Amino acid sequence: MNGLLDVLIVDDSRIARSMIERTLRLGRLPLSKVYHASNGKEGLEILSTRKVNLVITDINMPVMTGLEMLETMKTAAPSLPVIIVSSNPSCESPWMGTARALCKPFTPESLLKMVREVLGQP
Amino acid sequence: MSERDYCSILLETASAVLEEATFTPVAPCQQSGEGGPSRIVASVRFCGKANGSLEVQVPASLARLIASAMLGCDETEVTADQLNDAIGEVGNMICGSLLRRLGYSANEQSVGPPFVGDVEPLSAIPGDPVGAISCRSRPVGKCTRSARGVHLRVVTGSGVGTLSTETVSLAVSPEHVVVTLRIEEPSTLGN
Repeated sequence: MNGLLDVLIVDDSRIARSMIERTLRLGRLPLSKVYHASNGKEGLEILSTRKVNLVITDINMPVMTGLEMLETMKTAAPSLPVIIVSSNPSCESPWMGTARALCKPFTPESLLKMVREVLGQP
Repeated sequence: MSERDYCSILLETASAVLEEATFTPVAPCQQSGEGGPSRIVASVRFCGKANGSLEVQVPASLARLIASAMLGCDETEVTADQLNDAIGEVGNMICGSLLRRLGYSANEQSVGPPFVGDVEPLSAIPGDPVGAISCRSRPVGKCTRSARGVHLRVVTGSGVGTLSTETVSLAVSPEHVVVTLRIEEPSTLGN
């Protein structure tokens, strides 16, 4: 991918969203805009009005879970790269579909490696 | 799996989460962590094949250090909401990691959102002691058993660091994080 990167972070924990954003910024990725949503519904609302290059989402959230959001995204944005970052017991299971998954707690290096992989960056 | 095995797994899990979430080494210690300043408590309920809750108790001042390390900001900038959010997230991560290490999948376990609040100094866990736990040749906690189930307590010492772009600097705190796992149906665990 070339150019600047717009990212959507979906997590009901503000501190988790902040940690993810800080990791991305410390990784010197070419970040432009970073949107925050506290559940899947808010995430879909942002996706309906904003174009992003990557979605990083939790699973267990109130109102709408990350998996419910991904189910809707299958038709709305099927090719959008998604990374699931969750403490869910099966966060690395194949039932997550095409999304990549990372268990909490994560190291900054592991998240940055996965981001570069899904974006096809060296 | 014995109670001692569960204690070891809880210790390893809590240590790993605290180290990765706060970017600093965590050492087991002998102190009970009882008494002292008021604490922030995060309780995470889980149900399914195993039912119970995991509770993390952190002195308020240490919670501030943990939150500042997680946020990458100065302690003085941490708000009350961020304090609670940080300890809730720590509890959430320890609970999820613990269930993974115990072999449970999301298909058979449901984990609730963390409930966070302030409490007065700890009181002893009710029940009869069933043995001390050792880790790396040092006693770190105790197991107790009561009519409500098995209570596993692990006490860890914690230092908290601040992450900069290039290096990790460490400020060691003399205070302690207490993690308690309550399992209401111990007979189902490990099956």
